[in-house]
Amino acid sequence: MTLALQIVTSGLVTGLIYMLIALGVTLLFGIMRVVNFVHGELVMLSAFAVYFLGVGELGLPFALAMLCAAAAAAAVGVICQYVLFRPMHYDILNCFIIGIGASFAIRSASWAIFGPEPIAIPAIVPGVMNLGGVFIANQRLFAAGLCVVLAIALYLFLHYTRPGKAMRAVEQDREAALLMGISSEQVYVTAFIISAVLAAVGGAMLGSLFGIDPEMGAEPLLKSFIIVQIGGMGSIAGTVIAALFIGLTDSATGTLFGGELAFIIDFAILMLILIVRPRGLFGYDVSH
Amino acid sequence: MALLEASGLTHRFGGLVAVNDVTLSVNAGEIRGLIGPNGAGKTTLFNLLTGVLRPTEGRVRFEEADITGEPTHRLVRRGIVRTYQLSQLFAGFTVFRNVLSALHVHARSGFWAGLLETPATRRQNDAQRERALEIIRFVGLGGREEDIAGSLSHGHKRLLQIAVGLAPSPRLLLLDEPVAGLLHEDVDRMMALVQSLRDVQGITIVLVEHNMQAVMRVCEHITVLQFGSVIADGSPAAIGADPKVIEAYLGVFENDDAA
Amino acid sequence: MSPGRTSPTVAWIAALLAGLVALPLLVSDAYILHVMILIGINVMVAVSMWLLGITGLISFGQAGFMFIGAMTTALLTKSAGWPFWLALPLSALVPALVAAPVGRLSLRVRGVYFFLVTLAFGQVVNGIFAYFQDPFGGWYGIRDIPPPQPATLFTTLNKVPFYYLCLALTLITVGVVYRVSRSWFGNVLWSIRESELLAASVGIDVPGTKLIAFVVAALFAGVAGSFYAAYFAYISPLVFTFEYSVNMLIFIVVGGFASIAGPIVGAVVLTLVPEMFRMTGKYQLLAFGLILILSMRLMPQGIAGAYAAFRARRVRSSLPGRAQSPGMDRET
Repeated sequence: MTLALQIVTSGLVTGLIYMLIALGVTLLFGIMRVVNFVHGELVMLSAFAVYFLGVGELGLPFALAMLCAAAAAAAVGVICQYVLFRPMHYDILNCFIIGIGASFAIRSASWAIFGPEPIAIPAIVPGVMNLGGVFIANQRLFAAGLCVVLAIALYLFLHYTRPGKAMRAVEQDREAALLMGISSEQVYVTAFIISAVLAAVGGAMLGSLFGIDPEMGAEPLLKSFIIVQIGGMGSIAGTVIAALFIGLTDSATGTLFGGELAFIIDFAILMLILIVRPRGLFGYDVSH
Repeated sequence: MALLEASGLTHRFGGLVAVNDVTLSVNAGEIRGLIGPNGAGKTTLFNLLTGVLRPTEGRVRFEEADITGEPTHRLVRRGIVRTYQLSQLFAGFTVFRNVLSALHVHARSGFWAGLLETPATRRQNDAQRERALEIIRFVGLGGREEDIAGSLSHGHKRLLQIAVGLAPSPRLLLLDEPVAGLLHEDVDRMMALVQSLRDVQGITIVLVEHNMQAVMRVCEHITVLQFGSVIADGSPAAIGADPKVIEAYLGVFENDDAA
Repeated sequence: MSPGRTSPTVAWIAALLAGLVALPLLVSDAYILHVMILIGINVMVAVSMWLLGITGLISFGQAGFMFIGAMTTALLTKSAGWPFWLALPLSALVPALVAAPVGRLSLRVRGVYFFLVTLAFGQVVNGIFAYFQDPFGGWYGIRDIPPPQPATLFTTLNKVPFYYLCLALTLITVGVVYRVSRSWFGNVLWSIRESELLAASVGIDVPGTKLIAFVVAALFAGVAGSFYAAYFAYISPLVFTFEYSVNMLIFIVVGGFASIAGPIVGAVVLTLVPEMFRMTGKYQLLAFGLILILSMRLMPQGIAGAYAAFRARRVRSSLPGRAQSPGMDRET
């Protein structure tokens, strides 16, 4: 029983972190139909940034380090938008390809700079809590809490603020939004910024729990694709549910069968979903 | 003899009924007009008849065979070809290659013959080239074979659409707004072409159009749609006098503006 | 279907072929032959991906099909003791058989989703071979794969027979893909690229055609994989990765898409460059990433496209609308 609870809590925590990262993916895809391969590298770079700013030489408090990393990620995100995606006119295939190129470059550059060895990070919130027989590291609770807070913030932003509503308008109908005076360029930039910030926090949390290394961006990215696909591109509710599902599945298969199989099963689920219900749980009809 | 019969054709999509229990019957050799105000469901009906959409209810029969739900490319082989409101062309190909590509699909002698060049395939290729030139001249694009389709004027693009549509030797041609956006002389030329398609080539025609002059001149039989249902069906004179039709259009007949 | 190409081009190609055949006689450096073999493998996969790409489908999992072909050869020759010459056709067939249902299911989704499915497929293949150590070798892979018969000819010391085998396979691949691309079937592929809707409206079975292209691409990837296994004698999941699939795509992007010359030029250039600059591993990844970005931004038509445009400007008068997608007759 305790094992089951352990699996569940562990799965929920990682699921929530993946949710945050996947929300960044679905935001960009829903609004601009762009699949941003650099997203995974933003996760990785932010994790490194938080580490070096917080734990490394500078020793900044976590909140400050996180803010700096998020700002840096946002900057990189917007740079990518202007240097990579906008020149491709946000064409789906071309953005896909050029994003892959950029992710290769960033990933190998950081490998060259930071070396291949993973670096373990001391917890931001040390200590362990005992919830009814299950031991949870406080760090995990902190990470889960932060992700939930940000997800709620995102929801409020999209539904109750002007720029947020503008984003949803552009997502639903670009031409109509244009006629109503909503500048899609502004919306795009905002989307890239928010997406980058989500990646940054997700990366910091992942790093704090599992350590950092230059390859750490690939797995969350691919998992995000799976999550967004199951939940439906452009749907927040779908992303949340799918992320928790994947988190739990990974935790279960990882504990019972080993990490390799978990990855394979994730991809098998992706292929299955794409075949059986390409639009995902809550997404649009994609057959056009 | 009815060439094409639609019975009880309905298309529902998420609460919207675009085509509602439409029954119509087109005889071989007819030139049929399909008219109605915007949003009447004319293009949706075309989509149902040409395999682009599956009907929620109803059946379609062509030459006595049930073709409901068959995909577009299979219908083409049966002899049903359709053109589009927004000209669909192989924009990067020349006029010649556009028509030749459409011909290839129907007269090829097989995958392997295409890879190896036997004298038989060479003769067939030459025959196809001749036929492509014939078709291009017939629609009035003679001399423009080497022009890139994407660079043609709007009127020529619509002529090219017809040429490409003729390549599979259709028995039934569904034209979606053939004169949309054309100037007066081009409208006349297009409608003359449509007429000759039937007169010279024996093709049955169904055309959707907003240009009432063109429709009244060329069509022998007109079906009127409104809100997805058939509200009138008869000769141009009968349609013109029908109060339901007049009400649906409210003054289009008085106001003789080309679309 | 095309009439004979202009005489200078035929002469050039003949000279090139003669050079390729005579190369081992003129050069004794085994390293050069090795590089040529690498080029050959890359050309095979790039060219078959190009054929698929004509319809607008990019498969991000070609390495998966290569791996299946390589694994087929490895298992048949090493575990079952079959001769390579029997394993080779089977290594082409098995990936094709896998590609048929995978392709049919994948083609049900459009655009990005298709790319993601192919990506996922490549990862699944890799993952399955990596997970099951028996019989697939797991992460350690399979080593000591026997070379083609006669073993006395195909020793590790003498690359020349391997070179000629690779040359033959590459020429066959390029030849078939070229003929297909210039045939009526090839024109069907180009038509689908221009307008899927119109293609269907003139009677083309678009999903069926795409599936054929997908299966053919998998078949040639299998051939390349089979040769890889026999030549390197060692295969593992670390070789046939997502990065490997993307490399093939980069060949096409950098080389140019408009004609078969593109993937060939791309494969040649991007195999030579890492070798010349001794780039390995992550440095090669870095270089390729940057090259991909630069190529898409600065030279989207690729090397072959840029060269063709350059020649067109010099030779032809600049009438509007002269450029067109390649393929059929009636053009020089």
